[in-house]
Amino acid sequence: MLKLVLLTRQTTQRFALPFFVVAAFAFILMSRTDNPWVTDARTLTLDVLAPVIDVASRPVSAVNGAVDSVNAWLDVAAENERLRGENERLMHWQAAARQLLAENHEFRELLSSVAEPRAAFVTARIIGHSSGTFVRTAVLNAGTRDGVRVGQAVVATHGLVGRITEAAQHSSRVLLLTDLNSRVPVVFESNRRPAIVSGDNSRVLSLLFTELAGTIDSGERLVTSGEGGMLPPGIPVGVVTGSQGGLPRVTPFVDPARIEHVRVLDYTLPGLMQTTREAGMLEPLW
Amino acid sequence: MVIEDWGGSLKRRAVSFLPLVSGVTLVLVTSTPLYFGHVGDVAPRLGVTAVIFWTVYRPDLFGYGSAFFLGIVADLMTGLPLGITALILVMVRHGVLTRRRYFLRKSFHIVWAEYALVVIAAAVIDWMLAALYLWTNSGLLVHVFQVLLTVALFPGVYWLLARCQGLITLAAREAVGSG
Repeated sequence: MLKLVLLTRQTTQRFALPFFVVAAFAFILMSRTDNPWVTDARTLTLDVLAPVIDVASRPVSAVNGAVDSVNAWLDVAAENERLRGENERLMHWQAAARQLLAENHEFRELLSSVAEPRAAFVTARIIGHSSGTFVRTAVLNAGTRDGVRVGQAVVATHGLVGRITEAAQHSSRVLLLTDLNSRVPVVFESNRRPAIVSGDNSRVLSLLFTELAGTIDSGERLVTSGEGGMLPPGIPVGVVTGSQGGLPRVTPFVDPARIEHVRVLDYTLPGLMQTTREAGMLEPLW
Repeated sequence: MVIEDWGGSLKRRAVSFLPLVSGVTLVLVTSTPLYFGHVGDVAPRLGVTAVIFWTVYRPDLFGYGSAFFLGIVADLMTGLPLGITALILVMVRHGVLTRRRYFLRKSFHIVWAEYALVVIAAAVIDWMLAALYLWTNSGLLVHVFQVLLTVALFPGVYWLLARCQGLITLAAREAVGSG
């Protein structure tokens, strides 16, 4: 009996390494072929472990908040001065914006233009990050129970963060703009020329399929075009900050590593796809 | 007496799961956002740290199955292609197991240096897998920062894992004492 046990143990130990290496490769292959079983497993894991990460991230969040408070107290005089200047500039912009809004409204009335659907939103906290060579994603503490669906846009105060790729019941995963698989249709704010911004797992984005590659100046701003109907048009994406290998490089307006809360937009073009929730039930964002 | 034996046995069983539980905890900590700008972009490989530590000090409680499971949990949590981290951790366990004598009964600095070599090897495997999977050069800078961060955090993580190891030893001594 003892011999049998020893023999079984030796055999298991001998074949454990090749068995698990083959199993790992099998999983990689399944992942590569987008097997639905892998997606289900991810969703289930997110739901099980998200509450744990949520709790674990709170002390970090509290420390971060405390550090921010101390910094705010230390810089209060300089910050006050900066805000006064900014307020003055914004007052000018507000006057210009009011005038443009009135003009825009008038032109829309004259042209009987179809109004853009309003996007409702859900606010969520970033509770997990994954960064490295393979993916750039974040985990949110809001899921299908809160109205989050795959494909929805995720925005922060300064612009687009990414798009929902997995939605579990209580949590969801965001594919960040900087991820290798991220592609977002955009337009140049100044001349409305279309292009696609693409991530490459670095901190900046590449600009693809643009006719103006050689003539784009640094400082050009990009906003979502709304093409495809998945994202609302006009969300700030990034600014051109240089070029590499003849291709313009774009720095995103939002650095996901520095933000804690985001908004998930429930934006659906009427008639294009099934709405999960009536747009406008919550406060309009744009 | 029977109840005491049963309680002791349960405690020993529970404690024997500590290596895996500590590994999963470190993986979860790794995916917690830091909000510290550039630091938040690079997460340390604390799963690798757990595999190295337990393979050196308690290989009987942390087999290939544990390394594989830990990798799968990490992949599911971080959104990586399933099996990538599992493959890295299984290979790390194999590598450390074959070099175990270089870790045992050595000064902390030697262990730290050996540990750094294994972390670098894991980063190289990761870089190669990324190149094969994504068919692109993922850049070395991320790996360099990841290695530096992981190696820098080693003393603190080592101390925590050593406390877990102490609990396991204590439970085993109690079992011998009561027997």
